[in-house]
Amino acid sequence: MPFFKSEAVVLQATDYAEYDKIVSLYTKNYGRIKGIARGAKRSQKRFGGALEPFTCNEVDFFEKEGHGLARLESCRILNPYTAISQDINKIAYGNYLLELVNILTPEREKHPEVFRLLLFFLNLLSEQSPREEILRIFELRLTSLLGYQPQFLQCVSCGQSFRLQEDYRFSIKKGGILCSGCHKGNQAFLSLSHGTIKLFQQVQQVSLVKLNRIRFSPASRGEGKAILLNFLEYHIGKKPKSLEFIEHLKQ
Amino acid sequence: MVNCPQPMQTLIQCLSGLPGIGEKTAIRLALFIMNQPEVDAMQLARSIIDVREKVSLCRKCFNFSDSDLCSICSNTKRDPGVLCVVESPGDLMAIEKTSHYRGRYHVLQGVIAPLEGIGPDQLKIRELVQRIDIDQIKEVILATNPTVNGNATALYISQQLLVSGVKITRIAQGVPSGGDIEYIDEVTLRNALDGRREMK
Ligand SMILES: [Zn+2]
Ligand SMILES: [Zn+2]
Repeated sequence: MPFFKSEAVVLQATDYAEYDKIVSLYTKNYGRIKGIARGAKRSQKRFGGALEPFTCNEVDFFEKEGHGLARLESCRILNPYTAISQDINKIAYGNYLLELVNILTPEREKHPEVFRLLLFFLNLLSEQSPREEILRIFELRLTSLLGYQPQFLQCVSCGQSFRLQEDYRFSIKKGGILCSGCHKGNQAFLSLSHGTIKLFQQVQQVSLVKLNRIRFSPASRGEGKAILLNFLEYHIGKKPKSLEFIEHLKQ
Repeated sequence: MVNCPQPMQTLIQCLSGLPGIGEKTAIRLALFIMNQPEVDAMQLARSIIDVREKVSLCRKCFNFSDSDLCSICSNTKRDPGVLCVVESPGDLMAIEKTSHYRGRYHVLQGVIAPLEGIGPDQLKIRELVQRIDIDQIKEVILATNPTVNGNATALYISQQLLVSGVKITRIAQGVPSGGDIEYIDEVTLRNALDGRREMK
């Protein structure tokens, strides 16, 4: 039985049978891993609060050959992100980040940049007052890392580069902007302003540390939400569950 | 499946669907029931039918009850001004076992779980908000579990109750009695320090 060790963020933990928990982890060294934590439900001794969502741990796990389910051996909490779990909006936004990573990343594909991105955003959420636009920034960055980012640099149909004198719309299916020659004023494509296009180009290109300085205009907030949520729903095939709670809190 | 008469197979199948019971244990239990005096076995069968037919939820607190109001809500010796909010009837029973709490309850029948798509509307939160005024509640004790979901639920409820002006408290989180500080996780220790009390 091979033995592994990695930093990992708990994405989700659900009760399994009478004593156990099934845990979804995003690990730095092995990507997304599904594991079983024996006795985690009944006894607090072994895992304590380490299996709560958001917690960053150093985890040890065994691989039972052919099972696809790792066996969690122990966890050492590196950061419990308690500041997130004490604010209802932070919990709502944070759950969405976790859910996106859980749905979008392939199982057992190492991608340390995804891990770094997740930690960066958990830190951001934990240290600052929650802003909904950080969800949009996360969506843009995560899809870029995973290789299916929406295209804002050129028309996805004819390939012509972004120009200021052009009027653009967004195609969910093609995953990018369409120039006026290609969208022909068709209302089926979502409209978006130059401001939003340039903002999203910037979000996709700047270094991680500079992301925090980016602010959205009210127009970009609205356009960005409509475009990115529809784009993601199209790719995933369903609406992420945690969006509902975010919307509920806004009412 | 073991080779035995059909009714026994059905029983074994039903029993092995219960939590924590595998096929081996199910067979053992089925054999026990077969060898039991008939009255005992019949009583077991009837009690299962009874709980399903006669027990529903209390109109006020949503605890299990065999009448319109549960025994706690109809008990005039229990303080009607204090409500302890719990996730499930199991949590209520655990608190009742302490014999320490003299107020009444409100059972949410679940917890907010955004990742599972369970929101406030699927729980008995609206009913709780309505009770504050109708029952002239003075204090609400939030006794949801100290998990992210339990916290989200407590935070959401306290937000909803803010306008009512009712006193809202959260159960303490800290070091378990008989525990050893050296072996307690840092989240619990941090909460224990934050929730410290002056000694008198
Ligand atoms: Zn074009
Ligand atoms: Zn009752």
